[in-house]
Amino acid sequence: MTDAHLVADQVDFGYTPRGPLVVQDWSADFPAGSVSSITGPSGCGKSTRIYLLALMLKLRAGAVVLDGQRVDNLSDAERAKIRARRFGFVFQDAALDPTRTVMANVLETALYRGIDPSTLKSRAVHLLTAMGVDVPPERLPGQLSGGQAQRIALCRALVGSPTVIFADEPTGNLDPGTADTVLTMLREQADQGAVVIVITHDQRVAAWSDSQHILKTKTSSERCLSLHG
Amino acid sequence: MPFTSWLKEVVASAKSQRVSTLMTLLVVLGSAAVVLITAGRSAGAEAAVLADIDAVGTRTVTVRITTPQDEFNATLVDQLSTYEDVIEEVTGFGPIADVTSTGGGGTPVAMRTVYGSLAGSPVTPLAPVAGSPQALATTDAIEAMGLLAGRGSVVDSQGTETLVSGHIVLPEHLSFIEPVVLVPKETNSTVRLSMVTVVADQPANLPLVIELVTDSLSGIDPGNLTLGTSEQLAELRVALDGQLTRQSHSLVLGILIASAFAILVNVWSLALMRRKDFGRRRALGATRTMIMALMSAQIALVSAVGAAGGTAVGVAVLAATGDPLPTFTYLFAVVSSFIVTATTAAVAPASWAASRDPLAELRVP
Repeated sequence: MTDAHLVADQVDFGYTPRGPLVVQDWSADFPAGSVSSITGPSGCGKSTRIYLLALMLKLRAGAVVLDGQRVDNLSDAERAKIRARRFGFVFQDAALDPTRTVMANVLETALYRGIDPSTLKSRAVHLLTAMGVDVPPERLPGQLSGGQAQRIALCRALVGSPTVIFADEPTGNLDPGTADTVLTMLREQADQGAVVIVITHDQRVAAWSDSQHILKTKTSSERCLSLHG
Repeated sequence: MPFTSWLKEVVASAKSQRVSTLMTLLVVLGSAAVVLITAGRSAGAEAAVLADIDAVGTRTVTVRITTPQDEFNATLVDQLSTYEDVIEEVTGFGPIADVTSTGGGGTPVAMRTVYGSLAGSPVTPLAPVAGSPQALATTDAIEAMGLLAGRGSVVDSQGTETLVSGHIVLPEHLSFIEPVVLVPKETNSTVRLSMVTVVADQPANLPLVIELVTDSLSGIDPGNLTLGTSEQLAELRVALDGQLTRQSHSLVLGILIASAFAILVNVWSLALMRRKDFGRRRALGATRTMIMALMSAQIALVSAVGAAGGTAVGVAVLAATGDPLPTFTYLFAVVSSFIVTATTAAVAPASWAASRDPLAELRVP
C-alpha cells in the first residue's frame, strides 16, 4: 500500500448553485498513517464533508488535494476511478446489496476497478475471517445481524487495499465488542499507511482517533464552525 | 473489465430483480409472438405467393433463333455471364437432333448440346466413353426412350451414338424443353446455338437484363430472333412485393411502441426501487457510463431471451395452424427489433439511475 495524503483546502459547498452554503471555507489535513475523526451535532455537514472528500459532490469553491494533486476538478469518470481504486467506503447502515451473497458484496468493487473478482477472493476470505464474520459466504444480507452486516461492509471497503478509508458512523449500531473489532481493523489500515477518516458521535471513538475535527453550531445562524483538535 | 465478469454481473442483476426481469421477459415474449402470429402470417403468405411466381420464371429471358447462324454461338454465353451483378445464370443450347435408343423401342427424344451453367452449377463436359460422347437425360426422356436402368446408348439420324450415363433434373424455367437429352460442352467454342436462357438475379432487374441481352445480339438479324420474357409477370411480382405485408406494418409498429412503453414503465420502476443500490455503486466507484451500460445490457439480455422465446411460440403456432412460415430474415428482424426497442426504452431510466446522488440515496435520517 502506498501512503496517501488528503487535504481539503478552503472548501465551500451548497446543495444548490445559489443556495446557502452548507460547508464554508473548510480546510483540513488528513495525513497518511493517521486516523482522523469528524464530530459534531447532527445536521452540521459531517457526512457532506466526507462525501466532498470522496469526490462525490461538486465544490463551489476551494479544492480537494490527493497526494499533492488537485482531484475535485477531474471528470466524473476520473473521480469514479479514484473512488474505485484508491478509496474505501463504510456507510452509515452498511448498505449491502440485499440480493447478493456475502462474498458477492465483499467483491463488489472489483467490478468498478476493472479486475476479475476472483483475484480478490482470497483477500476477501482473509478479511472476513479477521473480522470474525463466521457466516457462510453464500448467505444473503437479510439473514445477517446488523453487526455482521457492518463488518462485511468494512471487508468490502478494505478488500481492494484502499489508501483512503471513509467510515460514516462505523460503530453506531454495534455492540462494544464488534465496535472494537472494527476500530482495530481501521487502526491496522492506518498503521499500514492509509488515511482513515471516521465520522462519529461517540466520544470514545473520537478520543481514540489521532486527530479530531470538531464541528460546532453557531446558535445565531445554525452555521457550523470547524475546529481542529 | 474482463468480459466474463461483466456478463456475470449482467446475469446476476437480471436474476436478482426477478419480478422486473419476468415482466420484461413476458412483455417481449408476448409481443414477439403476437407479431409473428399476425404480421408474420401475412409475411409468410406473401413469401409463398412470391415463391410461386418466381418458380414459373419471372426472372427468365429466352432467346431463340429461327435459322442458326454463326453469330449466335456459345461465346454469347460467356459474354453474358460476365454481368454477374445482375445475371444469375446463362445457359446455351445447341440445335436439336432427335435420338432413339439403340436397343430399339421407345419414341425419339430431342438431344441438344448445353453450355454455361445449369441449375446453379457450371456445365461440366463428360469424357467420351469408347469414342461416344456422354449425355444426361431427364426422367421423361429416359422413360420415352425406354432406357433400362436409366442409361444406355442412343443414336441420331446420322448414326452417331451417344451414351446416356446419368439423370438430370431441369429447373422450373426450363421445363418446356422436356423431354430432353443434354450433352454438356465447354463454352470455348464457336459452335452455333439454337437457344439461350438468361436468369436475372431478381425480378426487378429483368428490364436491365433484357437490355443487356438485346445489346449482345446486335449483330444478328432481329427477324431471325424470338425474345421471350416474363416481364409482365416480373412487373406483377414487383407490384406484389410488400403489398400483402404493408397493411400489417402499422400493426407491428403499434405493438413495438406499446411494448417499448411497457418496458419503459417497468425499467423506470426498477430504477426507482434500486435508487439506493445505484447510489451505493456510484459511491464505490462505478461510473455513470458503467451503470447505464449494465442496466441497458440487462434489458438487452432479457429482451433477447423474450424475443427468441416469443418467436419460437409464434413459429410453433403458425406451424400448428398450417400457415406458411415467415422467412428467416423476417424472424431475425422481429427478434432484432424487439431487442433494439427494449434497450432503447431502457436508456432514459438507465440514465436517470446513473445520475443518482450517493449522498441523497445513502444518507440515514
